[in-house]
Amino acid sequence: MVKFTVDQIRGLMDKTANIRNMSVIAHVDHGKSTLTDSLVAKAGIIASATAGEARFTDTRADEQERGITIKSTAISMYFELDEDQMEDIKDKSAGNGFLINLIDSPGHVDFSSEVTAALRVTDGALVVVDTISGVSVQTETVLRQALTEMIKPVVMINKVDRAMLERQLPKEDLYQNFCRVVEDVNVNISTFQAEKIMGDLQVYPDAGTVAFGSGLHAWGFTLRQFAVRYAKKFNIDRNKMMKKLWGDNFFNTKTKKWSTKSTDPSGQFNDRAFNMFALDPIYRIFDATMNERKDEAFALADKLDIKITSEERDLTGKPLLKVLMRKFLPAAEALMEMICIHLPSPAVAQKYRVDGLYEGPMDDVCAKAIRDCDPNGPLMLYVSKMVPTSDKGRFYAFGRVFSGTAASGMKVRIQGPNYKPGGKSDLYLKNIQRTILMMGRSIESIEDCPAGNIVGLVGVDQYLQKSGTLTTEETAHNMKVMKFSVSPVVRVAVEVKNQQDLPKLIEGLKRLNKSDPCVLTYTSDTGEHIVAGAGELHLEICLKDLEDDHAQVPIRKSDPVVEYRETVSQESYDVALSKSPNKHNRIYMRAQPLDAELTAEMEEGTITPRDDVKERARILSEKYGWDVNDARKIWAFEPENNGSNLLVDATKAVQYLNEIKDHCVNGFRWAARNGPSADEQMRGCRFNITDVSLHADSIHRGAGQIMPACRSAIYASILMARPTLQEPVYLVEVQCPEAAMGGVYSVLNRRRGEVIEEEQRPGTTQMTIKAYLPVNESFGFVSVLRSETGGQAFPQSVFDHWDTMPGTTIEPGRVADIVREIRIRKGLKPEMEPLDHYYDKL
Amino acid sequence: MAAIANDGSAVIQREVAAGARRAETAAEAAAVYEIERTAEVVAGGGYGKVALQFPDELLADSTLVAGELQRRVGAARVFILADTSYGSCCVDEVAAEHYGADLVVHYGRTCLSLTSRVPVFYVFGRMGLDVNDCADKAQRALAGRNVLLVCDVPYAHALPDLAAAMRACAEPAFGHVVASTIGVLDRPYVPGDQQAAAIRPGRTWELAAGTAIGDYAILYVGEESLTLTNVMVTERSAAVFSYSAETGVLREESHMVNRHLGRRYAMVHKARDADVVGVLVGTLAAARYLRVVEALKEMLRRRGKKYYVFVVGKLNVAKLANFPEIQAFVLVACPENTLVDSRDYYQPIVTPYEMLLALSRSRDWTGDYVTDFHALLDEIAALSDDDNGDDGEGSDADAPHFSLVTGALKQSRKYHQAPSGAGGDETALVAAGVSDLSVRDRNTEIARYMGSAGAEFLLARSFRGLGHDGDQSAQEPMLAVDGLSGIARGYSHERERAAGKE
Repeated sequence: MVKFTVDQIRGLMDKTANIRNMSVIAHVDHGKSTLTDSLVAKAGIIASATAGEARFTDTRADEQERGITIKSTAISMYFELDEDQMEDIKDKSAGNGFLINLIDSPGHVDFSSEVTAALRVTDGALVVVDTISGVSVQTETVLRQALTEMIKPVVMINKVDRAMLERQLPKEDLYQNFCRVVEDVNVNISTFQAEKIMGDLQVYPDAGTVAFGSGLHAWGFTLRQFAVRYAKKFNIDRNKMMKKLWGDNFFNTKTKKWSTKSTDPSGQFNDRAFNMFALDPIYRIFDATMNERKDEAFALADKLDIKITSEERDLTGKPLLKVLMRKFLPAAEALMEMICIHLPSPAVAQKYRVDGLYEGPMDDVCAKAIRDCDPNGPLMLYVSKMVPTSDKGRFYAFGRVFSGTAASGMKVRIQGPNYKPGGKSDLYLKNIQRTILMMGRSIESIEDCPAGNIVGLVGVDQYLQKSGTLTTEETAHNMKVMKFSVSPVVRVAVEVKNQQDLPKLIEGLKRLNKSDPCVLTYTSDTGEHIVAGAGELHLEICLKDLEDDHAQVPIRKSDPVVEYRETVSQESYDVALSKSPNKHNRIYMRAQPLDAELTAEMEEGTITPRDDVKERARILSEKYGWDVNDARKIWAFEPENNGSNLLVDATKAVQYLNEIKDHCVNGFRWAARNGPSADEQMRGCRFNITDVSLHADSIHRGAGQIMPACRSAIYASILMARPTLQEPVYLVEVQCPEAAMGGVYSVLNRRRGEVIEEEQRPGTTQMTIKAYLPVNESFGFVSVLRSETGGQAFPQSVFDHWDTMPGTTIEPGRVADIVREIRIRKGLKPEMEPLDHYYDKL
Repeated sequence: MAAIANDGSAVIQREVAAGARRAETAAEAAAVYEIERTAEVVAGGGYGKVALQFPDELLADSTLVAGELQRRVGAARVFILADTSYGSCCVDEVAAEHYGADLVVHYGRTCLSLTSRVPVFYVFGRMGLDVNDCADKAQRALAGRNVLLVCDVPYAHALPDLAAAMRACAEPAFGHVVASTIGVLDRPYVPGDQQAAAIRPGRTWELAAGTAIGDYAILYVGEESLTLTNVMVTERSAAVFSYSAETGVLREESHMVNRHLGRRYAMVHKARDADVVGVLVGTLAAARYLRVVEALKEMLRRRGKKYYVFVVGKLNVAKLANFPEIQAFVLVACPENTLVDSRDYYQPIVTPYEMLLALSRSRDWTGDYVTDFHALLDEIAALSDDDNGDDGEGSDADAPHFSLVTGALKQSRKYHQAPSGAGGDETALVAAGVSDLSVRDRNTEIARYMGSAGAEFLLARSFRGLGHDGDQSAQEPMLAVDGLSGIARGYSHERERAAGKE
């Protein structure tokens, strides 16, 4: 029975103080979806009996089948808090009804872009961590993402039942385990939290920001719940009680005295308060039920005020345990409490988030409205992803209203990512046809949606590719575009089996592109249709979707192909010279590799073409030792006008130079997009124009002369600077038992892997191995690893960096072989053009 | 400045890529170039001035042929046309008219386009072909399959013999063997000749009943040339083999076809994204080229794209790179020259048919090709009809389309339309057809550009001219100064300097 109505929810949407937008994030298989079920069940959307197994938010068939979440799914729920719970909410709220907009996100690295899209529209995050495997690579990644988006985290330590049943950990060990997890999380939080404007974001069990429990059994608790229970008994304030329940606080049962030491003066061991008051009842229930001592279990239940029905009395073993625990410590209760008390409402969160959300000036009308979460201000809505509808080819635009109110039939400005205020490109004036509420599998129509809420829109999908800003204010700037932690580095070419299906494939590619925040579909210069994804699994899912849903025609796909980058490994040994086609102009060029850190900064967007020239020059000269004059004369960042290659004017007193700047930049753009070796993008190169001699007559130094000359000069300078390739490299984290290490190492060795870290989880035989693995070698890695280790090793790979390959493209060797292969695939001449093709003699 | 101020002798001395001579002696020339027949035509038509047009690779033989012909025709004056403006396959009518020629004799490979002003007589040349060797090799490679024979023009005379030889082959035999014919008159084509115009120029063939081109393997006789590429790209046969009469090598070519088609396909997508299109006129000889240009212009206008028409002579990268504001070119040329491999060019160069695919909403790429102007005009007419039909539901006309080149949405820039919300007087200007005018607004600060792609492009450039070289901050405009005098090869001050040094 659904315990709330859409009207109730709509009513709450106006009370911004009572809204909590939150996402559930974690490493894969740490139990996000299962845990979410408890909340969904509590809201009455599914039966509590199936909670933990239904995985309500895994709406796709393949999600259910594979047991992993692929798409993030939103659901809105209504809860009511008790009086005493209300007392602990620091910010003002209106009534005890709360609206929780929850987004369950995928944990597999390949789908991190879904997490990014989810985080953008939420203000808080429930970070789920597995008790046994602890903080894993993806936990770190999502935490970092959350903190850069200024999302406040709370933590749920999940799968405690496994620690107790499978590991049989004694209480103190379990406590130590919890401590370690909390500490790990906090270390990550303090590393990634760049600015302190959000205050202390670390989590503390004794503050109630950490919950413990089991999503599968649907039980869980925060210390607050036990504190409430014992506060009366000991007659102390529950907040004080909470502090006593964590850390080095001990209780002597005999003397009934509190102490901060583990032993009393007589040498008697004191019990840690946490173990005694929180863990002990749980351990006793576990012990009684699992050892078939039902009477003892029921007696315990009576003591703990658990009401058991007569049917439940017939249960034994695990089912009984589940029932008892669920009734004793319902997970939903603990989570709901933690979410409502500790996660910020939109009104609170948008005050500090506006900086990271809005591109425009912080004092304009839109920024103000966002800061105040003002439903009467101008509409500012960010669409973070597109959700396919049942109507083929159409999508709901899923996003968050940051200010104003989005209503059905409203005329809005739809601003794509390339929109510039005052310009006309990437701007559409359209009506929102309908506003809807996303409820997992189903949707509910609503009249309008005020600031602070998550909403789905109908009728704007064809104007937005993946994300964008909707506003009613003409002067509004865009909301900042999301930064993904993964990039599409693995590509396959697809083609239809029957030529006449081609239009359907194209339509399918278009839809696929829209439906996933990260996937890229395009046509290469050779006319192949390319689908690019973050990893093998991501691609597999995308292609399946393409074949089954989006295109619905049989397709053939090529083997996965890795993108390379071209670069230079030293400075050109001589100045390269190129003449224009009419031989009347000459361009002198030198190439040199850029500092790896500088390249990374440019790719991360900390050094961009839009920076202030002088400021950028200062950074370049101080940090990277550039000549200040050179640093002020950077002509272009390419490719795509924000790439990691620089064209620098290093000339001295040359006439007409400004006139040819645009032509040179165009030639450079071309060269940077298609390098001379393998027609791949250039990366991390600096090109210095050392001199130019131009024809005095402007007609002879037009674009047609300068552009080809500049491109040739760049190519020549590259060929004189030991050109080579860079290949993408994954960071792989493998978790396996110690016994399987040999298998892992042998697989990594065979695939040019390089182990960088090896760590044993304290108290277990579980090993965590971190290694670099070239993406090119990663195809089939997962399955080979599984078969070599008998399925005990589980890897997670995420793109880490570009690695310069040893050797050059112009001398025989591995790199040259790769170049040859790529050239043949692209339909180019197998041999590279020699230097004198570009280099002109004086 | 030595290299820049060179004396240009390199250009004079640059060698034309002349091919090997096909005829060494007068007798050979008479046989290969059909001099007797040509002389009869010239004498029979009573032509006074006869222009001989050779492709570059046959220029080596030109003097010999001209001499022999002159000896036979006596009264008429024979001269050689060199350095054709476009492809050597097209009849260079303009050059012929410069000399007031009464007849053009066109030698070698030709696109068989009809002329509009000067009578033309095509001489293909007759190159020897070892029919038996070819049939033999073909049997080894192609036995059991249907074969369509296509050839380069010098071998046209031998094609029926080859077909006969192949049909006569013993086991393993071929399937159907079909020889293509080249539709051309054995007399000069005189413009306006209705009967002659009815003949569809180019290659024609009649397939056996119940078979389609897809069931055939094409055997191309001749050297590697544009014709071969053309045949490969435009005919969707099962496979393409080529037989070189010179080397006697028979090989399969079709693996190249898909690559090539793929690249063309990518270019169609690029053309679809282009808002500003250059219409390149790449021929002056082909009849109806003007109609194609007009039809293209109409089509582009209808789609709200901006177009410019260019005549640049023979294409090269530097020429086209002078127009960076153009996002795609469409080349109107004879069927042989229309496929340009534009890898080296900054913008894609597509054929009119590809442009049509790019602009059409209903039509999709199938890999079929139309290079013939006649068929193309029909297609364009059909397309306009289609569009008139669905223009009614134009509510989404400004919806962006998904660009397969970038994988992002592309908003089409509409030219030829009054910008919405424009003031009354501006709209009036647009209505008057003055679309390339920039109008200053009341503050005369920001100019609003209406439909001028060129002006928009210049606005995006960093160099605007008339500034201060190197000193962007200066407020005052720069004063006019004395320019250079002399010619580009060496301005007067450069000469003075050079003189001073010595």
